[in-house]
Amino acid sequence: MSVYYATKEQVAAKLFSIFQAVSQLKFVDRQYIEPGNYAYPGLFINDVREARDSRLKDVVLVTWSVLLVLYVYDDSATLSTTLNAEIKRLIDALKADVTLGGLTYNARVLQVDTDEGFLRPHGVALLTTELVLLSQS
Amino acid sequence: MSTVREQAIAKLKTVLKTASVKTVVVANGPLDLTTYSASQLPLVEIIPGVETALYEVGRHAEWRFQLRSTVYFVESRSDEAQQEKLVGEQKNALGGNPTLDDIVEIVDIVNVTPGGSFPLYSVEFQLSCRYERHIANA
Repeated sequence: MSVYYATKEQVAAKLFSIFQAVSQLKFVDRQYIEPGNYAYPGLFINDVREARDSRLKDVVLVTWSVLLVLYVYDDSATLSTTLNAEIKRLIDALKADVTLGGLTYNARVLQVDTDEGFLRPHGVALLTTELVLLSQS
Repeated sequence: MSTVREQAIAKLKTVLKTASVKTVVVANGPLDLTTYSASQLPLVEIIPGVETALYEVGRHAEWRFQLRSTVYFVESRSDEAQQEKLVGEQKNALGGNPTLDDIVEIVDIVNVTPGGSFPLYSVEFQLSCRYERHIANA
């Protein structure tokens, strides 16, 4: 009967370290700005929205949505294969520990969208991800 | 002078304050749990029900009342062993003192209903109690 709290900052830092540990990713950063001279595959972790629901005086259920923006570069005919492989690595990295080391109740990818080849030779995937955690305020 | 039902509820407050329970409250309806802190849980809420006469014969009558007892607990991680322990404590407390020290008879635990969702869970007990009432001379 115990409660584990976390802050968004802690969760964001943990996400950052989890994706940095995905060996194939060459670049990870918070918040998408503009793709520049970044190494590929690259990932931006974007804060999208946050829903807060008070359950007790000092227990707030936070449902935090982040958008993982994944960039790959492949000028061969296997762009979609390359993109799919990176998407799978990100999902697997999250699924390896959905509590992110005890910070969250759950972490899951809700939806995956891609550019469908329009940005060739770049490939872009958007992974809408939901994180559920408890906050004290 | 308190009624039998009031005495029973007062007794129930102490009976249901088991080892794991931190708070027991009597309320007329659903609690606003956002006024309680996590440190005050597990919390037992007792909601008294309506009291009705079963029969009256001469100076003797039997009355019955229902009440609900809900234990609320907060969990960050699924811990079924802890939950079962808490529910078991409540059942044992009721089963171990079915007359609430001769105040009433707990006739039946009508229903046990688990509820809630992360991180706040509950188990509701619906109790049916009866007692004999002696009617004083007019």
